[in-house]
Amino acid sequence: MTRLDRIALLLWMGVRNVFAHKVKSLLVGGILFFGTVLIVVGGSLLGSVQASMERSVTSSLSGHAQVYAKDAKDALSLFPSGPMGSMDVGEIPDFHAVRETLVAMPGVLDVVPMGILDAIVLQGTELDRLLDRLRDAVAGGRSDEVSLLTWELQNIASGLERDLLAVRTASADPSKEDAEIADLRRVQDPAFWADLAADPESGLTFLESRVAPLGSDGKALYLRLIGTDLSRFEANFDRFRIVDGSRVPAGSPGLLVTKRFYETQVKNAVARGFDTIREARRAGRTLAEDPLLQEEVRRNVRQRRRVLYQIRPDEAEAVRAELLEVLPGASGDLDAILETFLQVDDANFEVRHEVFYRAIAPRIRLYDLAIGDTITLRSFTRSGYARAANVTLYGTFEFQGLERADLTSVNHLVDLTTFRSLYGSMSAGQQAELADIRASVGVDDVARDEAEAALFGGDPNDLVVAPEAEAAPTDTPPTWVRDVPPASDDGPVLNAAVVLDPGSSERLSVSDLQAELDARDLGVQVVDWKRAAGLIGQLVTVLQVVLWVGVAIVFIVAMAIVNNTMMMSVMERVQEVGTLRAIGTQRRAVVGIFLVETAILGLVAGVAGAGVGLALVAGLHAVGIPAVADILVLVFAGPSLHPTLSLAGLVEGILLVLVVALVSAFQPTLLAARTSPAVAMSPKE
Amino acid sequence: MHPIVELENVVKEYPLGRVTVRALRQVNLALDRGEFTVVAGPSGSGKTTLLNLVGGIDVPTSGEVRIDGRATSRLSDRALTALRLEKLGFIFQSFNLINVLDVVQNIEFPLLLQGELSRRERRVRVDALVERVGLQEQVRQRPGELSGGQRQRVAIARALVTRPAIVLADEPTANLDSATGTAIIELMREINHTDHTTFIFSTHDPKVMERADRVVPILDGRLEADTHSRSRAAPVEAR
Ligand SMILES: Nc1ncnc2c1ncn2[C@@H]1O[C@H](COP(=O)(O)OP(=O)(O)OP(=O)(O)O)[C@@H](O)[C@H]1O
Ligand SMILES: [Mg+2]
Repeated sequence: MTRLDRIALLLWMGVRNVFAHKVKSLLVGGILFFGTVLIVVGGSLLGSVQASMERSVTSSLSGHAQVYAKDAKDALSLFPSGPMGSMDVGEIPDFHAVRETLVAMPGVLDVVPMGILDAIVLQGTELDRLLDRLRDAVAGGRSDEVSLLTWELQNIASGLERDLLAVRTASADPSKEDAEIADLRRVQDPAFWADLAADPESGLTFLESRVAPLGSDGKALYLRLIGTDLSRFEANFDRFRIVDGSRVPAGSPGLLVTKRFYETQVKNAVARGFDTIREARRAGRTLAEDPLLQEEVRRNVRQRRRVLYQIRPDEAEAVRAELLEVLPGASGDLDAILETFLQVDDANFEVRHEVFYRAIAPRIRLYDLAIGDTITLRSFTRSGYARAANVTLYGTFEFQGLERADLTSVNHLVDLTTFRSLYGSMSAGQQAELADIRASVGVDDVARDEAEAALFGGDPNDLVVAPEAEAAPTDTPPTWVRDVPPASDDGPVLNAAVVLDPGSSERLSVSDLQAELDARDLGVQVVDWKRAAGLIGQLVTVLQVVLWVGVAIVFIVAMAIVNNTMMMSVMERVQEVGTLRAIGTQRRAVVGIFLVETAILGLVAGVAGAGVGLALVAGLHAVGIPAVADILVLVFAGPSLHPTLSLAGLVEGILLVLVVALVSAFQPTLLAARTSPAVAMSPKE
Repeated sequence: MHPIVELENVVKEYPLGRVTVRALRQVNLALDRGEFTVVAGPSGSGKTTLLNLVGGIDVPTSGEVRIDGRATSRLSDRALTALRLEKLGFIFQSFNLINVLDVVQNIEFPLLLQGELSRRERRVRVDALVERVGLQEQVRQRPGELSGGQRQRVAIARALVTRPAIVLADEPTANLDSATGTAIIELMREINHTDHTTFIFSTHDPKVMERADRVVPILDGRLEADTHSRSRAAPVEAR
């Protein structure tokens, strides 16, 4: 009973003292209040970002964990974090066993084999494509088409000549330009075409060797490829969705590129210009006011030949007529009309956009790579040998919610077989052959690079063909043919996504998986999504560190202020403490009185701060934090973040503030407890 | 029956920078139960120092102070604090009440520290004291709302509530006007008479000295031969 009364008195004194020492309470309480708001809101944002990023990454690429070789030279990074082609993660020694081991564990849904490599697609210019068609037409004796192409090539030559003349005036030594201009004039001369009809080969050779290089540079597209078992990938990553085209039929070599990449890198430059302006105008920007958009318009005008040269002469008149409908009073050839047409402003943009997509877009190659095209992917093996593989571009894909995320748009998907041929892996046949080479040269161990040299010869442009005799010092030049595609488990696999069953009661951790794999000595390491994601995964850790360092700084400052304030408060109250001691209060009890007082203040400030923090988070949750930068789309796992807060987060925030308050009050409190009772005797003032 | 407090060859020195202030020099004193003793001396003579030692608030530099037979310098802080709580009551010059507590809570405070009495017992004891010091009307007021004399009455009640063996008061009237001061001394005197509570207090007010059984004059840290103005005084121990 007395005990309860004592506690009641202690609390009573604490509450009264909090009110009695207003300045101290407001100062300390205010700091603790803001500290709690900071922790609660910051913790909520961080927790939500972590959860959303985890959702982004695990649902798009990584799975819950990634497995790769233990002896990898580099750390696995599913998203690019270094220069192209720089990552070497080795190979999983025995993927089949890894998969069997993991799938046998309860809670593991599937293990998806993967391999990452960088590839290039070299694109010919429009000129190259016309010359290819010309060669075909000449060979096929299709004179109608030849004359059409003649007209187009003359047009292009005259356009190029005009460009070159401009370059020539600015050039210090115009001799090179003069020679090129002469070549272009020759193409515009009907005599050249008469000669070509007589002697097609020399004319075509001239065009291909002298004129083709003058066309604007063919561009190289860089593709970061994830080779994977596409059907298993689709089955396990439910955010994956085909946008255009179709999925890759099982067993065929096929490529899927991200929708965003397709729209931003592959689309015709002028069409993309229209898209960009339209998007910006939808976002409220205007051509009249936005200098960036004005530059976009100027660029479109400059690039009009990317459209012009693709319009067939027999359709030029139709296009011209349609454009003239919206350009009353314009005159001149199609080039001049296009120039006027592309000079858009806010008043006419919507109409021109519509006309462009109705009259022009269907008559040009809207995308440099069309869905259904066969594309030659080129890669370099680690030792510098070029590999190439032909694949069909089946379509585009995206991850739901991450459509605008640049980082998830850089990884494209190919089938495993194509990946393996680009990666330069050795099929069973190749390996047998390597054994032969070894036997014949009497070497026990041929390094992979040397083996490649032996197998594929030194010509970096060499496709997967039978090696030349010089390739290896062997009497019987090995011959081999490409094997049938291996089952996805059997060829080399560089890394694999482990997909866990979200409904399973087993909460498998990375170390659980690692332990199971180590038990079978499979030579692989398991990393969580955060590490597998590379730089972007570290972003979470960085954010975490930044938040906690920020909180730590705020708290250290807060602790210093609280400590100081408490110290002053204690000094102010020495007489009171001395009296308490004189009339028989033990030191412990004095400590108790002060700590209870601080705890009450901390609790009130903490609860108030948590309440305000909760309100802020609730507000942010309702409104959503927009992903203003594209990278944030990935971080937020969607176009906006709706932060949430757990009860545990609230309680943690309050407890943390309470601890901070008590810790910073502890030293002043001890000092108070050491007050000599004699001070009670000395009269006040 | 031994004296309630005994001082034997007590020396108290305060280090003050390089010099040492000798506040008490070779003091011998014994206080018996029921005495009403005044320590009288000019400012700086060592009155407060003496009361501190008597009250177990401080310990001597040399010599021995025994409170109820226990030498204070041999006790831990904890034991000394407990001793003060059990055996002593304090009345201060500036009242020293706990500002956030009301009259009843202030008076009850030492009983809660002791934790021996039930709520009912405490209630009865506190009520009796409130009546005794005449503060029935003020029970729920806090010190800030009371006059100096009322505050000192609360302090007296607080000092008495544990029924201490001895009550110390260091210049209890110094902050009061003379009429109020006289009334306070009368109250203590009355309590001493009826309850035989032992009092020792310091003063330099001659009017206060008049009311004492025994006056112990102090000068420069030395006790002079004391006088017993009342018949029921105890034997003199000062030498
Ligand atoms: N804590 C201390 N430190 C140093 N010197 C002290 C201390 N307390 C008292 N003194 C000195 O000891 C001597 C006695 O002081 P004390 O306070 O006991 O005198 P007092 O008779 O109570 O005086 P007053 O009537 O002014 O209260 C004085 O010289 C004083 O300066
Ligand atoms: Mg004094």
